[in-house]
Amino acid sequence: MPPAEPRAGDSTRRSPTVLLIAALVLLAARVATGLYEERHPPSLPDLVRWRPIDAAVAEARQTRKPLLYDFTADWCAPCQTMKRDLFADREAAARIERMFVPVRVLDRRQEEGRNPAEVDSLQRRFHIESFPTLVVVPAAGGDSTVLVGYQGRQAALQQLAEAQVRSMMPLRFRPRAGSAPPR
Amino acid sequence: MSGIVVEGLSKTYRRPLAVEGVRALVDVSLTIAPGEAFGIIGPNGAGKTTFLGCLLGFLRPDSGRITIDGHAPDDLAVRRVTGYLPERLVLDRWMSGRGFLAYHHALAKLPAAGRATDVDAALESVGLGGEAGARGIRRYSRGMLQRLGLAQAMLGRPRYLFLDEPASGVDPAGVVLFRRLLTDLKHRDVTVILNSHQLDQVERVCDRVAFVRGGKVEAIETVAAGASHARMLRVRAAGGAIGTRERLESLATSVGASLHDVDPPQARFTVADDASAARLIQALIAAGVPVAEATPEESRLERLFLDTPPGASS
Amino acid sequence: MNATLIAALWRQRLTSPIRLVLLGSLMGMPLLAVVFMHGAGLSALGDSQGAVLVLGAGMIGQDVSSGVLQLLFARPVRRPDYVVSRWLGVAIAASAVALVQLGLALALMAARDSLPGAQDVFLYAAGRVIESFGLAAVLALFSSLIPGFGDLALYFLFTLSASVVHWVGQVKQWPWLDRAGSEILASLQPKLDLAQLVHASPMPWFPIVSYASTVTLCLALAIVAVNRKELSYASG
Repeated sequence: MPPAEPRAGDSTRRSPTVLLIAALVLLAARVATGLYEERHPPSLPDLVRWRPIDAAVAEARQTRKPLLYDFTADWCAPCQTMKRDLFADREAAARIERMFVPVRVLDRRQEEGRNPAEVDSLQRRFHIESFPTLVVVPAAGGDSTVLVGYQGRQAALQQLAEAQVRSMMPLRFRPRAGSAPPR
Repeated sequence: MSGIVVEGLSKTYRRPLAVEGVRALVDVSLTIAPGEAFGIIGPNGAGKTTFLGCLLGFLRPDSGRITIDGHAPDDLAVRRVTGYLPERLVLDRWMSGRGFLAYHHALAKLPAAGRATDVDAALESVGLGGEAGARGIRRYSRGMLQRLGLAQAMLGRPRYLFLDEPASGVDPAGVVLFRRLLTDLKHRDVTVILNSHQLDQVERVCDRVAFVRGGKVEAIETVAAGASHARMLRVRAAGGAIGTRERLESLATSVGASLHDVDPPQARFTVADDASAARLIQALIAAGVPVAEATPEESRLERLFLDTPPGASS
Repeated sequence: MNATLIAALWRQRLTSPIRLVLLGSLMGMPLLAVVFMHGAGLSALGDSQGAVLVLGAGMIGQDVSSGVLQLLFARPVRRPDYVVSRWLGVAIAASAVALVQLGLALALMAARDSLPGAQDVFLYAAGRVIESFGLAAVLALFSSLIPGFGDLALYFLFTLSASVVHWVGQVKQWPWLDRAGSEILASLQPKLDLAQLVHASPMPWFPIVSYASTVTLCLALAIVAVNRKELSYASG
């Protein structure tokens, strides 16, 4: 006598159909939103109040805060990551505002073929070769600190804090750091 | 359809890169009635544990079908009425014995109200009451682990009990205890599937026994568990004076046994049970036969085990 | 979900001295930073990766290789429930650890009168919880595929490979490779930067959908893997 078909019951190995469908739908949505937002990136509000290049030097002298130059370009992916992590982050942006006089130096060669003169001259002065590069310039003059590339929020904030402390020291106690020549 | 029905079960373990897998089960078919105690014996590597693994839904057979009370083996309805004692017992070592049973009591979805009472009774039943139950499992001896494993398997009075080498590593007192517990099960209408090397244990507990070799069921014997059954008694006389066939025959019949054959200085008798064997030996000595040695021959299972030529199935 | 399984996972973790010591030092270190680093904000507390890895390592694989699953699956326990319970157990425990750490940090900051704003605290706490649930799902998948603590090895191997891909993409300036690397890295550590989501306009859906997709996919695949798993001595 052949055994009866097992009754369709309540298997302990029921396959996760609903979850699988949800996972597939979400995967499709992920690709779709990814492609869409690549073309129409949602604007992240830049919470840092970037100063115009010429006004910044005067402000730095007056407030005795070091200058922070952000050498960046719109096409550079790590720059966007940094922007998201640091400049669009309330806490990080507030700290940057507290410590520095921030200046954005935007490279436009890719888009417009050439840069404004003051951008070119700053790039030459700090030997900028890649983006992003952050440069901390002490208000009282002396060695600048150059941070090339972006190694993550934590590391960047740490390096910026150290550069700020260094730039506030009287000139003769200042350890040499960074690669920029003195003014 | 109640009970366990196995039809055409085959299972091959595939090894990566190997052309041919290991055939662990080949076309096994059998039926186990509800309330029956069913033994599985066979040499190492015969496929006994694989068979149990399939019955428990742990392994996916390549072909064939198993139903338990009409359900697939991995059905929740089956799981609710199943107890299992694995051969290589691994327990959550960081628990206490009592904590472990309470954990399984909860996993088995048994009512929480009776948990403490049930757990204490279970510990008591395997001789782990009191301090032993409170002790951490990592400090249990092999025998204690096995006792705790059996208590775990019998929690909630399962209707199907799968026991893989239950008495392995158990001290002599434990063996007696296990035997008693298993015999008790017979009066509780529990279907027991017992996988054991200990033939006397299987013989004592089981109604039927499947002999497995090379992944095939070679024979299924009815052993009428609990009942004493006929076996052979071999008697050797000192100095060759065993006596004539006629004399031995009449002595045997006088105590309800029978002569099987004579081969001086030995004779073999068929006796119904131990008591009958004792009466026969007494009668022989009383009649002046110089009995030097009287040994029971192998049980039927032992004969089955020994008589099957190795590799007969492959 | 099975409360018995979740409670058993927690009790097991609490009796493991190695895990407790690792967890204590991982969580205590950032607190020291809060004590000694002037102006250290909530970000000094770091993320939930350490807690999830310490609490979650071997969350399924350890049960497979120890043989405990044999007894467990002989019980009326659905395998998907088991997987989900392991995931929830690890995720809830890691979240609790993060919240306790946050509470201690806030107490320290309050003592110095430099408490962050309520909204910042809330967003940070929610972010840590979200991260715990995300990473625990990834680890559940790895743990369902490989016995013992192989899930940790697999996790670090994947992270390393994805970092290399990401790095090569950056050096060679191949945006697609760069993107692929960072997508894999993001999937290996699914989290949401809530503070950013709150401030961005329009709300970016990609990070949210990515997170949900990673978690559901990992759990679904882990369940399929555990459903397909054969338990025996012979097949390992």
